[in-house]
Amino acid sequence: MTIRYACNSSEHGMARRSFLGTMAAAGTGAITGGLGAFARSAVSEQLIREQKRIVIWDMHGGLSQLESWDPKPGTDTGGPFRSIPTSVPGIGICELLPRTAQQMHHLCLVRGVNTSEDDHGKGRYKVLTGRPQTPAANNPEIGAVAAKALMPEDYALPGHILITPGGGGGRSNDAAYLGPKYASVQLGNGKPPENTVLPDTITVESDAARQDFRRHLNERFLSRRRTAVTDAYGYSYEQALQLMQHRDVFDVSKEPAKDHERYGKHDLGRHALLARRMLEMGTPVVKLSHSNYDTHHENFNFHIEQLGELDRAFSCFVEDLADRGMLESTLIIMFSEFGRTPRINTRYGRDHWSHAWSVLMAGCRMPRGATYGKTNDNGTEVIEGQVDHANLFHTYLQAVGVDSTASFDIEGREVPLADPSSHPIEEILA
Amino acid sequence: MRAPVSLALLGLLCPVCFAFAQEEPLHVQIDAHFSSPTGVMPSLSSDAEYLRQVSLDLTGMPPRAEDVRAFLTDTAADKRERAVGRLLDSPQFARHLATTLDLMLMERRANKNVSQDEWSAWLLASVRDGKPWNVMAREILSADGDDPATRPAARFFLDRLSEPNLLTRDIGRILFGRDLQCAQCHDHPLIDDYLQADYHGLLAFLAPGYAHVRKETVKEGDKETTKEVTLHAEKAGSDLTFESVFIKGTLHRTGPRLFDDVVIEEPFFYPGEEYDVAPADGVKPVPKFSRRAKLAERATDGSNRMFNENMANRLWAHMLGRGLVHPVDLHHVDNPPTDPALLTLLGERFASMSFDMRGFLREIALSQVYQRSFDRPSDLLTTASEAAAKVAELEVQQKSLTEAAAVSSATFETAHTAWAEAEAATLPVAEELDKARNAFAEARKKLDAANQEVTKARGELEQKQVVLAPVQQAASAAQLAVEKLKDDQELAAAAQKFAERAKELTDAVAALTKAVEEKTAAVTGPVEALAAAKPPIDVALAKLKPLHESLRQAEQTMLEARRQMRRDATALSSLERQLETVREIAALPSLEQSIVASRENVAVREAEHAAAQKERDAYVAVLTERQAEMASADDALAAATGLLNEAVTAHMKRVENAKAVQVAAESAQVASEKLPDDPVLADAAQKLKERAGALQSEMGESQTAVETATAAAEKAGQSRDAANQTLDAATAERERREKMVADAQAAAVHAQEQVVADQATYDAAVSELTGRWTSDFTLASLKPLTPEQLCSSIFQATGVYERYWQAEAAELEKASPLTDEQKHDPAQMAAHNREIEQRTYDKLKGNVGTFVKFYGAAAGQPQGDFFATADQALFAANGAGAVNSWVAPAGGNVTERIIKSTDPNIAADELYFTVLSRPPTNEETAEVAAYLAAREADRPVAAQELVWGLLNSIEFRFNH
Repeated sequence: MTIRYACNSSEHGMARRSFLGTMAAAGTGAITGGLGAFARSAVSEQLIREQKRIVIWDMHGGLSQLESWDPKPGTDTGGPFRSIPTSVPGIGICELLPRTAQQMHHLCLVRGVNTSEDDHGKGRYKVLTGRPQTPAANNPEIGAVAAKALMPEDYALPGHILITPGGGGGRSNDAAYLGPKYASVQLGNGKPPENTVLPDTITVESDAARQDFRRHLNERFLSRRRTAVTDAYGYSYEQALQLMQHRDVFDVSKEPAKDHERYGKHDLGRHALLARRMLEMGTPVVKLSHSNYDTHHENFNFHIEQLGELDRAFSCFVEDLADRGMLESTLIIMFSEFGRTPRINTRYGRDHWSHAWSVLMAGCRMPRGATYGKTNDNGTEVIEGQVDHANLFHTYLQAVGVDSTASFDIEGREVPLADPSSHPIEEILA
Repeated sequence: MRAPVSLALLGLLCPVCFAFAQEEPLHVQIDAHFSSPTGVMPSLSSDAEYLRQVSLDLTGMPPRAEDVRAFLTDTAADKRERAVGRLLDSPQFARHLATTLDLMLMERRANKNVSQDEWSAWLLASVRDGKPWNVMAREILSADGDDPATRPAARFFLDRLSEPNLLTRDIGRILFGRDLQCAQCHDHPLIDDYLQADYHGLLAFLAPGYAHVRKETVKEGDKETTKEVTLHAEKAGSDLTFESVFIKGTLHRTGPRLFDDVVIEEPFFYPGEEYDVAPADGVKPVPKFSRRAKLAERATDGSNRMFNENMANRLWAHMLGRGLVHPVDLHHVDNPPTDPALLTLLGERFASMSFDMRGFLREIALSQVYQRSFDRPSDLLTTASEAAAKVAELEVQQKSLTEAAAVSSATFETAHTAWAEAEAATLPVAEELDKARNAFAEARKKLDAANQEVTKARGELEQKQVVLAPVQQAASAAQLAVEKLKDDQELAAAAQKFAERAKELTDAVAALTKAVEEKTAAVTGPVEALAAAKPPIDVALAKLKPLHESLRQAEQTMLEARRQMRRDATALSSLERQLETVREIAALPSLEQSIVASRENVAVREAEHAAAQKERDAYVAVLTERQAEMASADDALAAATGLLNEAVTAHMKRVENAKAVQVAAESAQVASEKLPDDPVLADAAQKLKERAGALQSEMGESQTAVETATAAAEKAGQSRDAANQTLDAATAERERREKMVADAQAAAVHAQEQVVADQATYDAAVSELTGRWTSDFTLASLKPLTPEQLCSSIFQATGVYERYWQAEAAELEKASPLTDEQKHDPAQMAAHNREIEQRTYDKLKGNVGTFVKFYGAAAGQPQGDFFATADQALFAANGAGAVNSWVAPAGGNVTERIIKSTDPNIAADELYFTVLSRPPTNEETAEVAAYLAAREADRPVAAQELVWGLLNSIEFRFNH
């Protein structure tokens, strides 16, 4: 994100104040401001409760709505699985999700999703950015938009976390014009961010000494000229030090063994537990994913296997957030790039299908134990409450109290947060 | 040096001023432009600051310590000019400008069709050869990727996948400084002078373009493989139609039109005649009229002001840290240049300098405005008094400019409406022409089909005819032979066969001849149809001509009105910006006086507080005295009261006694009267009577004593009351004085708070002014280093660059040693150095990539915006094989030199000259000395800490 130091925007003023506050504290070597999440004082507990958060479960490849949220047993498209009752009378979901069924009273199913895009890349783009992909425009993803809208100005840790199944770390490229400050920081397979450990060649004392020298140099320089950019640069080093100091925030092994057992001893279980940990520490946006639902072959066997992991981890996750009172301030979203065809192909698979599928939401302004929208008897079309990616994008933001019809000011350009020609799903916003 | 406060205005009011100065070098003109009768006196950068700044701006890396030292000891007046010349001649200059152009043109987009090496090499060669910017731009806008020599230039199009909307946006932004993206779907909602027609006018140049994939067969030894090469191809263009998403149903139509220019006139082609090479499967078409070629020509021929000013502004921003228009791609009426006249001058001069980037940068580097310091001017008050006088003057101008802007805005609205009406009038006829063209195309298709039929039939006929003659010959010859050998049955049979075959063929030829005739006849219809389809086109064209003529006139009027509106609005907002600055400067003294007054007030209040305390303290004795008086009055009263009580008691006793004797006397009197002759009795009675009388008189005495005591007690009581009143008054007085103290103290505290508040107001005003002064170039900006600059700067400071350079030089010397003669030939040596630079660059570019990963903005986003994230700081602190390892002592680098130097002054010198390109201050030298002295035990570690600290300081991160 750009810092416009020659401007008079209130953002500048705010950022400046908070920087000054944190810098002053940093100089003393105490726990610095902006880290309320770790100070664990009464005030910070309250802040954490009031901090709105979003957690996204991204089901890579395209979760089958028929084997999850919108089963059609006994029809030509239904497949072999039954629909089972849930904790909410009248709502049934697929029998592959028995534990999640018991958490239904916390959830809201949007069953009339039509995103009209059956290509993986373009479909993902639509779902993640709320807009169709066009060559001349590059839009930020929901996580980056939410991070910019929800992250406190002086938030010292990464405010947008992406837990990836594998890979290293580093910064993603999902913030577009919002700038790298809001881009997600990847925790490759749940590992802490890269470069957060001092190299063997440098002692803690030596690092402290060089950082002190650096601060001292900066203070002298800042007495000549101080701007938002100089402050931001100095502050980034304090953030880095905090990250190193609080590296165990990212260490899921610090969570109780019992919880590891409950969530399931697989990647998804571990990642879900890490997501819970990050949210509890006040991280505004966390995204995790589960791969791979692109079941052109053997759709049913794959879903048995995949949903076994998902059911366990997700049901524990919802239950825990509810128990801890976090659903009031945390929006859970579960989506894919699209759903899967009602038609079962010759390889017992289902193909790409964006015309009638489901998205799950829970928490914040979402109704508890509800469904919205309907597909026909064998799930081939939406017959009630049809919504698309743009409606959903507006709704996610509205659900956490962000005015999705507002605009960002990007270097003098006004850029709407969400597609201005669309609107949120008012019916489900409490 | 004078301030810019009113100079833009000066320029506005007197644009002719510059005409006189045409002959002078640009930097002189710029300086003339930046002088004005009022404003602040900016200070100039020091020699060391200047050398660091200009080295970073021109070569992308700071100077070496020895260069700084030499520069500082050089006493020649023209040393800055010579330094600029030396830097511009260095191979690093070409590299840095090429990198800058790369970032500007491609914004770190992925290499999809042209490799980074090819692209960089083209940019580098162009810069080295001094290729003018307009020529580079023309190559970029013309190259289609077919010719290997110009293929790299096609990267701008090819790596945007030839996508017309993306190209429209980026060409608008990057080559014309205008981001029209928001006007794609409607007239810009917020920017008056960005019209939807502007977007579509530019799009019309690019819409016929597309990515064409050519399959090439490549031979590798015996193997043949097919390679796909993507080229940019272009079809013949047609009008674009569009409508606003806000006003549905009203169609608009445009041909290719550059921003601020009329729609270009294109030759008319009947359908089917548009191409030199018609499009077909696997064929790259060549239209007779190329819109893209027209765009390349019109944009770069020197007549397009926006093109010229865009690059002048970008080069200015490259040197000064921000553009006259900023952001550089958002030039519009509500974001006008800080100094419109200067931008005009720069654009014109850049064009008249034949778009010579190197020469242009040189002029900027030599201008005084470039040499300004980033320190705030010290003498603000003098400036302020001058500014105050200026406010009224500017306000008068503001009034007339506001009126002018309102008038031209209304004129533009009218002209815009007239243009829209003229456009609406053309639409039905344009549609009629479309229909006629379509009908003509349709007829041509039919004629082509009919002609094809004829060709086909002719072909078949020819085939038969070719066979017929020999068969007929053979048949005749066989017939002759049969006649000679009449009995030969076999021969006869054969001859018969020949005769039959000849007959068959003759019949077939006859049939085919007929078919040809029929098909030829069938062409007549389509020919006539085509001929008939032509007049409607001509009719529509004829009708359209006058309509287009009036549309063109309306368009010209609208464009002129828009230019006027923009000029007026720009002049107004530019003046308002200055007015605001001048007002703020003028307000400074009163803000400062407030502080002084508040400070004085603090002194007054504190004195009052002290005085009040003194008075309060002085009164303590008085109060004590009054309290003592009160106590003694109490005592006196108590004593008097005691005496009174005693007197009363004595008196009461006497009263009782007297009363008893009286009663006895009276009884004795009664008894003696009853017994008159008893003398004893009478005597006793007499005695009792006398006694009673005596007692009565005694009672009178004690009565008097009581009265005396009562009077005394009353007097004591009065004295006490008086003392009490005095004490009450004294207590009240003390309370009054206490309150005075408290009030005075509160007033003092409040006064002190007022000082802090006034100081904060003043600081905020100065901070605000600093921002304004940065915008109007009174002060130098803090320019964040690009990822490339940051990496190169760290390499320069840690000696890594020098080490690699030396290694490559040695390598090259070994591979192809230079002769003495070559060593004395400047051209040879320049080429030699370029070679070393290229090798060094290639060796180090992987590291640059790492810096780009951490410090670079995302692909396809503007690359100039600064951001600081924790992951950068983590990389700088902990990154494996990066900063820590470069900071380690090696090969005589700065760390090693610090460790080895026995004199702490020299160590401090080494550190500051090498890392920050300047001598340390005394304070800094003392710090370094103390730092090292305390760390004798682990001096190498301490030296690394010092170097790391400086490399990660704000001063290092920003160029200024």
